[in-house]
Amino acid sequence: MGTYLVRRFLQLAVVILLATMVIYALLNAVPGGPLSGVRQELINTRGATGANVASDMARLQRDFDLDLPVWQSYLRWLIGWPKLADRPNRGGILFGDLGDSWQVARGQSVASLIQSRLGNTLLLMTSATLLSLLVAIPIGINAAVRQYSAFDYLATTGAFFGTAMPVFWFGMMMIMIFAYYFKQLGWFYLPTGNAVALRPYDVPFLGTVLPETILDRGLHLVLPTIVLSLLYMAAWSRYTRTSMLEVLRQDYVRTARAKGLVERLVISKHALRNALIPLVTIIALQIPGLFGGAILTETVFNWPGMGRLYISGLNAGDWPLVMSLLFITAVLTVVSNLLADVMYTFVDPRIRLS
Amino acid sequence: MATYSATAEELLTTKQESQLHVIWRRFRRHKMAVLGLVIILSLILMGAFSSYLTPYERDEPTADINLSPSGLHWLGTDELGRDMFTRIAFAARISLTVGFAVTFLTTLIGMTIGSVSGYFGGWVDNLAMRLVDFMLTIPSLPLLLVMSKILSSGGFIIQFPESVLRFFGWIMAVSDIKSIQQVLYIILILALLGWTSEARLIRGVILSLREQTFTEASRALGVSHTRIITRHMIPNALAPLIVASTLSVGGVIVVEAALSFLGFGIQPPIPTWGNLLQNAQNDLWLYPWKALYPGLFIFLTSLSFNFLGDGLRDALDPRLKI
Repeated sequence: MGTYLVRRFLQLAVVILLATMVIYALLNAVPGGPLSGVRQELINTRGATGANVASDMARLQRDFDLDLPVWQSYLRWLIGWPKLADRPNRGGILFGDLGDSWQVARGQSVASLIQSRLGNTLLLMTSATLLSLLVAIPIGINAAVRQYSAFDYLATTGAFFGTAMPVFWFGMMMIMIFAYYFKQLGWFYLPTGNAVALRPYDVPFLGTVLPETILDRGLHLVLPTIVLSLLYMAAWSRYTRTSMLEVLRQDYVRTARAKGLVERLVISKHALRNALIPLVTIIALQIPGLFGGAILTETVFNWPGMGRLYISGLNAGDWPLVMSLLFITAVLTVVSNLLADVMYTFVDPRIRLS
Repeated sequence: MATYSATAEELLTTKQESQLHVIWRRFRRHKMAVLGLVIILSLILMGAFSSYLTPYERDEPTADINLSPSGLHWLGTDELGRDMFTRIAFAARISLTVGFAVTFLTTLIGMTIGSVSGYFGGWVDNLAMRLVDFMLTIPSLPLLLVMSKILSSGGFIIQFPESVLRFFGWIMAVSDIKSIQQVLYIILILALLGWTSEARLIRGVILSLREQTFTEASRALGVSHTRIITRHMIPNALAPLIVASTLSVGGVIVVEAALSFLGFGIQPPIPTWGNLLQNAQNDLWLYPWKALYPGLFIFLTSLSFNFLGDGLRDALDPRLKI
């Protein structure tokens, strides 16, 4: 176990290092540089020989270390070394200095920008993950226990439709039905757009809902959670079914039945526990998503979370922001992969890491 | 006498059936897969004859803006008064072209890397599989978005051969060079990030075939490595490969639609199902029906390819069924 962990940590370090190189190269090695769009914008507004285009560009290049050799600017971004006398010190992204945003929220640090969005994403992702697990596991178990029954076929077909469904369109259809038409008809409807309302609104049965109350937040959360859950449910119910079928074929299940145990206990005590072991992987691999959010769902519902932050960063050409988000997601993905493997050995002692 | 014995012989020996016939018979049993195939073929026909289906121009603005569906405009009109059905039918050309082209490329790349890696093993295999692992750790949608942003920002200019541009322009009924290039960029990006699963699949098959006696025999006969791979191994891997490719076409179409929906894919005025949805989203509170149809086509296409793949899996290799 010890040597295994050491080896995995070394691998992890190499992969993270490679990922930072790819991220940095992607965003900085573009011909014309990451600021080529900005130069065009300056020329458009001020004319090619307009006031201060050249000097403004030079200042921006300097701010982003783009006038330095690539290896120097990469290292300064990564670890804050080499320190240069005529420029502000950088902490380095490996040590937690994510830099400052310069387009989405000029002057604000990327860390504080993330802080302002992370709560919303955590709320959405946790509720979607919990809801999907609560629905998917019973469905998967039932489908496996009654294999080839009507329920199994229904679950299989449902999962088929769920995986084929483009999530952004599903979201729009939900908004159309439950937010638009239900409201038109005067029925109980669900508010959408943003995570909270701006002003009080009336909903049948509930009366007037005040903005930023728990009720308001809850109502806004319902539709995005359902939409996001559909995808997970489709995948995870299939996963549970396969895993349960695998376990039901095992000898110890036959033994349990042979010694006369009631079927209910065979399922709940012997099979279920073992069938749920692979789900540990799913939960661990959900970690980067908890941080990164769901780009498509957040866009459709205008949910102010990390996914939308990423999109607005990309749209605005806010490279420090985009690089930070890519970096954090990559690190979390690698770490959660390791975590999944390690957790697996704890819940399933049969597996030995070597 | 002679006639009797002939009939008896006929009755006793089963009729020779060609391989294709057997596959088709098994495939036909899967009703949803047949339906999927029919839908896909109709979509292809709809795309191919898109300019003859309606009397309207694809990109010409008219005064009839945001009409709801009627006999005149089957699926209504958009914010510039263009007929939605015409645009959706043209978009089928783009979506299907992207889907098939990307799958062709990922299968080609995956097949090459997977078979070389599985056949030779050793450090080649190690390197290739580490590359696959690495690519799988990078979150794909954010990466796709970044790459699409970089390519569309005009920084990179890839010179495509004239014939390639003309061919794709002809298939997609797009004459503007810049738009064709944009589509080709999207195809390249999706192919570059999408070959990993195919490579793993082929590698797995080759690994198991490598130890079989017929491979050993071919090697003893002095058959070259390339010939062993292309003549003896790839044909054996064809069944799972066809299934994976079919499923991949549906997936690629959804991803392309997602990119275009987010505004990082193919740009208007070239219609794609994804960017039609993006326009519809802006008007969701005024004209909600506009969001219904483009997405319905994405869903239908993706579902059809999924069912087709499922049916092919049953038909091509019954052992594959779980």
